[in-house]
Amino acid sequence: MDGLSMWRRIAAAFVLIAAGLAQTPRSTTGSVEGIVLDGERKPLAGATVFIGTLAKGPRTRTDAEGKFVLRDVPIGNVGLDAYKESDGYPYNMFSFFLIPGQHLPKFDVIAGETVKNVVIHLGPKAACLRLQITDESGHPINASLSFSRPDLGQRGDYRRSTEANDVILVPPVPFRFTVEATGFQPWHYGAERWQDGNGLITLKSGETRTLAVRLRKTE
Amino acid sequence: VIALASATSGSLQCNGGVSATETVTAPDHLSVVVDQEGFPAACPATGVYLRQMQMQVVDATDHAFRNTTSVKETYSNLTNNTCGNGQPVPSACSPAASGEFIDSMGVSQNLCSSGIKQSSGCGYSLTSTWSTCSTSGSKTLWVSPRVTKSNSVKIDGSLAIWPNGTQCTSNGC
Repeated sequence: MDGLSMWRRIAAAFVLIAAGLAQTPRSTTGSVEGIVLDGERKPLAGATVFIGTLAKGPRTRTDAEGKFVLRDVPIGNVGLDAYKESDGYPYNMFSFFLIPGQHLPKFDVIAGETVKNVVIHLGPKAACLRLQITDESGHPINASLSFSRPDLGQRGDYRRSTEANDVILVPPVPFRFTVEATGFQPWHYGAERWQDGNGLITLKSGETRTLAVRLRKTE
Repeated sequence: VIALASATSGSLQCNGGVSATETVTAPDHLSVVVDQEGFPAACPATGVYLRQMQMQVVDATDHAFRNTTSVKETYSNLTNNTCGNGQPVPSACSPAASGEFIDSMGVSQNLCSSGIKQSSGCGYSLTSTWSTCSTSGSKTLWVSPRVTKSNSVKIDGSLAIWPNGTQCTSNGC
């Protein structure tokens, strides 16, 4: 190989490397580090951290000290939230679970950078609805639940599926709810007065209320 | 003990006991773990409607397929998104730990600052197909026609929530 040929090869290699660098896509994500505190401001281990402002996004779990590192967070303004249903902190993606006065962290994520010292302070624990849903013969029926909150109006409406025997976490605020299943009449808490004040149910944080719901077949 | 295990078609446990053999089968379709919808807590006044279905991969006998498997979504029959924020993008191949994943439906991935009015009712319709990711041929798990709007999400022509345990196949739920 003569000297000129060698320098041509080196130059070609530089051109290729430069072209490769130019084509490397810029990062469109950043990271977030922080801690999740429970209702008593103690670190919450094993909580799932998620982005409440995105329909889809990365998730992670807190370590034994309640700390987390969430990677691949899309750039822009994001809001974080966390849940641990086994400890009474519901998956609060939906507005029905809002606790008055609770503010969750929102901040800007910059490409390739890490937002540090984010604190997710969860509110008081939820209450529990222990449901036993059957038909008139006592056969268990999987159903759907419709919840509403008078303080939030239509924006607090929330619907979810449930097992025939299930425990549902609910916020410790007044709400209404209805049980529905195909082929059966809707069951309203509070019966015929479910839409006035008597149809409201209010549970305290940590309280469990057991309800046996018997659905009647549609006539 | 070994002869006994063989005779009963069981497997030997560490404590010397015998248990029935669990047959590992293949992903076949999906089962609803939980179906929920509402406006996002992060922005109830301005956010777009969101429906999230947590799904479990199951085998042909409706038993949960607990192995981590990679799943993807594809769209067909996609109409123009009248919200004006571009066309929706299906979920690429990603691992479903323990065979579970969340199918999120909304007119915008950005729930809070898309500029879309809740009450506008804008959106699009499409047919969603969830399938396994495999170089040796993917398996269709669930096909569902959907209408996604700023204030509602309809699946299989219905606004109804699917009960837990509903089996969803290539013929719908």
